[in-house]
Amino acid sequence: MWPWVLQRVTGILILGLIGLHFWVTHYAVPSVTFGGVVDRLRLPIWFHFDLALLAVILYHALNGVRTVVLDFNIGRRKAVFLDWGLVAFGVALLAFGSWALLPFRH
Amino acid sequence: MITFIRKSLEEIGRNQRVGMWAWVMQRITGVLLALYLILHVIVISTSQQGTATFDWLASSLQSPGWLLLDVALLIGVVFHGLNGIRIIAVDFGAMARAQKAWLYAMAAVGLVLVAAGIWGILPKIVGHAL
Repeated sequence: MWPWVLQRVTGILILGLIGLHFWVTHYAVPSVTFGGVVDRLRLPIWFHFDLALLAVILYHALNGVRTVVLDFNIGRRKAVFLDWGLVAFGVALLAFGSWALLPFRH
Repeated sequence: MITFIRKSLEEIGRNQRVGMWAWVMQRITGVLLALYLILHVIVISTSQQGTATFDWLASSLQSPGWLLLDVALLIGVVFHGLNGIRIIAVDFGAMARAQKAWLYAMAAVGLVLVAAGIWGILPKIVGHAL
């Protein structure tokens, strides 16, 4: 029930956030450059925006993959393994993404 | 799993409804976009290799081949997003009878968004060739 609701809530949220992300990275600046990203992330709100966007998309993407895999009737044991695997992967990619943004802040 | 795929394909063949195709495409684009997300974060992580490496990669990705893949990405994102809106509308029940109307409305909006994207990308592809 809750994953179903959250998939829809995050889906709508992502439509708006990704539109904004696309605008600031491809329309507000002529091209993507290291210096350009530094200029944008100088404002802490954009740094937090990027992290929040990554977190929300990770939830939506991994919950989506979970839905697709569960439709193959993999059984309860494998389903539990899948859930924890996806959580671990999500946390790891969020940490990796945060690490990737650090050089722009120095 | 092979059986599931075969049965799914038979199901699609039997009822040639657009809704069924939309359901299949939502899953295919979803998995592809999840894979793109990983690739996107890896590309951004070249920031750790320094300014020169990051800028070199960013400009390399402006070659015509990658820009064409950007168009494919745009089509995938626009389809997944708009079909997602249609799914939510249909979920609310009131729209169930208008399911196909939603599909065609979303197709119209999608074509406009993709055209706007190509309008932005095309000069870069042409500029590269000149």
